[in-house]
Amino acid sequence: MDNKQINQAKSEDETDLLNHCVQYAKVILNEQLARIKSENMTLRLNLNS
Amino acid sequence: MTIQLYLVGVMWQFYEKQQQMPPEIAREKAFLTLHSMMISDGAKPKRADKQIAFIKEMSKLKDGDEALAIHIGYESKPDDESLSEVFDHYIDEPRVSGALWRSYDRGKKIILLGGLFVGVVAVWFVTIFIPESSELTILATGLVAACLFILPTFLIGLLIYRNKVKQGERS
Repeated sequence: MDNKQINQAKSEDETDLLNHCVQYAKVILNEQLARIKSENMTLRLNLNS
Repeated sequence: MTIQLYLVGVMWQFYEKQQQMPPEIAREKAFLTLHSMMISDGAKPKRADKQIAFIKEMSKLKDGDEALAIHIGYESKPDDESLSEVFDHYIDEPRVSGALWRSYDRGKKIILLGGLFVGVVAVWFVTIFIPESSELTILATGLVAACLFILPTFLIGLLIYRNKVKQGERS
């Protein structure tokens, strides 16, 4: 492998890692938002009952 | 912005704990990743640059500690209630984004109905007591009276919000 190929592989690795991190953060955020939404619904139901 | 700070904390944890990066590099990478997320979500590069610079500025407290949302994001675990914990901390904090909008949302009915009422009373007053007034004058009087109610009420609302922010800064 020459330098160009090594650099390209490094850059691809970095992009993969970044995408992986974005996916991880999005999963966590969606999970947390869904939890807040369901808590809010429960609170509203409790207040209405 | 609270959610963006929380995400920086989550991504910092990802780079540092899952990818074994040094803390400072992991923190910097978290900001770069947030920048990339904003671009892929449709933000213009210049706008994203400005927003990231602002978030970086807000991420550190005056004493050098990390902001609460970043700290909680960094310590978060799967299936915990960390994000609602962040919001619980900010529940009485008027400076947090949305507080001004919520105050406006609560007060807009009073402003609009009050303005309408004052306008109608002014039109009624002019029609009954100054019957020689032209239609245009009557309409203008109604509008001016409504504005005289709406603007001061709006300004008083802003003043109350400002006082709340100042009280929050002192405590």
